[in-house]
Amino acid sequence: MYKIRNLSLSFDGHEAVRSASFDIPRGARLGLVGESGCGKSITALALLGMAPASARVSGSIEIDGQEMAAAPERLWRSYRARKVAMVFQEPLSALNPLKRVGDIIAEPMRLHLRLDRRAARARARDLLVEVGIPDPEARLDQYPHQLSGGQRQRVLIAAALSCDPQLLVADEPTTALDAHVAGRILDLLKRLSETRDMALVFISHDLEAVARVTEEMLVMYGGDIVERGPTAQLLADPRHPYTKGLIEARPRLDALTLRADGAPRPRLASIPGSVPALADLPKGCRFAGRCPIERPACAGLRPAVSVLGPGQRQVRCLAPLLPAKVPA
Amino acid sequence: MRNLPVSLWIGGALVGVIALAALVSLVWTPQDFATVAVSERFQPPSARYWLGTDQLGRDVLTQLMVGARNSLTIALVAVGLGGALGTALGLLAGAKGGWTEEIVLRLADFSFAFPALLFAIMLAAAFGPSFANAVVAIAFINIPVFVRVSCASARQVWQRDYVLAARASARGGLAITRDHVLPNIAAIVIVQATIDFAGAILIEAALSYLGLGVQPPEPSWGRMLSEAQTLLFLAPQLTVLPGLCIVATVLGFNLLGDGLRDLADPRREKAR
Ligand SMILES: Nc1ncnc2c1ncn2[C@@H]1O[C@H](COP(=O)(O)OP(=O)(O)OP(=O)(O)O)[C@@H](O)[C@H]1O
Ligand SMILES: [Mg+2]
Repeated sequence: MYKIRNLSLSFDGHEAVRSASFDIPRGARLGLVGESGCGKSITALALLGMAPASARVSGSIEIDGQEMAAAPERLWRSYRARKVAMVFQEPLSALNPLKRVGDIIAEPMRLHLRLDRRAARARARDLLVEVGIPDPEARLDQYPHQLSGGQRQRVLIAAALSCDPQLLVADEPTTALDAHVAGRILDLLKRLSETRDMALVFISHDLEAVARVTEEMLVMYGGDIVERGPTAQLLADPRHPYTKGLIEARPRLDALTLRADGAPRPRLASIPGSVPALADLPKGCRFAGRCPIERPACAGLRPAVSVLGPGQRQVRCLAPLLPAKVPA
Repeated sequence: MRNLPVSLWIGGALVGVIALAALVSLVWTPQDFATVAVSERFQPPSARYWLGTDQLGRDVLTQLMVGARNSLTIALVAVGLGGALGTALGLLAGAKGGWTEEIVLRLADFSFAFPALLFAIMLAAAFGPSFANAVVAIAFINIPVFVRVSCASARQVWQRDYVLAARASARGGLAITRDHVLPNIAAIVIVQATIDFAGAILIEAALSYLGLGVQPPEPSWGRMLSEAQTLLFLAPQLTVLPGLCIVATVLGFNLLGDGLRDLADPRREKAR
């Protein structure tokens, strides 16, 4: 459905996304992970033709055979809401505080599907049921501030679904929510994708969340897609040193609690350093400078993508890690 | 109430008094402002002439009140027109970005670099002195600052999640500007207008002083100053009183603008 080839986004000549290529087949659930600033959000926005005005976009974005990378805003507008919709991180700031929930959800349907008031309201009610909001009739007349954080995010999801998009892009949809509520939203997104046969691009820092929702994932660093493959495989057996670092840096409960024998707790592993500014990223492998297994050539030479094994796994590294030993 | 900035109180009070005088002058003045009575000239304050009379025997209080009305009207219409036009251009530039923004901002910079008063004098001189031309001149020099303020804030709003969300649901630029951008920059624009009001009063006074503003017999503070300046030692109150009015109004709007700004953005007050 979506075919992205060599998509690059640059600001002042510095590439914030570097020739990304991936497909989003119908109904697929794709995770996009990476540290802050590695280009996840602008990649997501580019899928709706909403990359920042200051970004130079090159490459190809094909939607159902139509080339969209250089398409005019008018054409993009006819795709938004109906073909592709988006859910944002902070539901409160994405909802107009002056509008009732029912109007927020009904508005896209009235504008794009030309439904009349009553039909749009009836569908808004059905959507609230679908996203799991109890007592939908009463909710329709409430304002966003009268809802809890989780319910707001559900309303936002309902509004995004209102014109039956084929792809839903969710940019860190649960970061603003507490863990329990977040988990239920994740399950909701997964269920919606399954029942509607709707593709989902799910962006997160949280590997657990990505594992819970997606079947395939892309790991981004410094604008490069450094590794991709089936989510479970990739998490169990990372081949890029950055992916491995991400997995090890993940906060875990057992690493945080004091050990019973009073011994110092094991330090939380983390990737040394932080993501450099766009202009300071190395020309070659973006991870050079922070990589534990770096070779002299890495900083100057951009590694090619190597395909691993018979599966769809790919890694962009000169010296990918060896397969993890599968415990017998 | 306790939390309102002090400047808001003082500014509000000053502006309130002047505005009240202007409003009252619409329905009542102590004397007729155009009546000249040379026999009554240089009267000291009395029950009939509360602030005395001037060199032509006109009631000073009446002149000040109608002068306030004229000054405020010109400033209101001029800042309103200039602000509306400037804000519209700024919104357009903020929404479009790219070369539209570049052109609009460069034009604004260009006219901003021009001394405002000089520009107003040029315009008024070129098109002839009149009430309307004073308004146009002051409106014109008010455009650039509104362009810059509204464009900068509009650009910020365009980055917010709710605008991205609106765009993601295929709303157009005009609808987003109306529903999201304008309501969010309104406070900043109003603060700017209040502060610009002070500048407009000052420029109007300067134009009138030079005879390029309100034409006689309509009184104005600026012309009262220029007419009385030769009498500075003979009748100092005739220069001091309109001068005080100008100072009070300019100060009042500046304080009011400051206070409103602190109210709209409390962080700013703490930072100082
Ligand atoms: N409007 C912009 N102008 C200039 N640079 C930008 C702009 N938007 C994003 N960038 C740059 O592009 C890079 C990627 O930003 P992006 O927002 O996609 O990161 P992200 O992966 O979503 O991070 P986060 O996890 O914090 O959301 C960053 O280096 C950022 O500085
Ligand atoms: Mg982001």
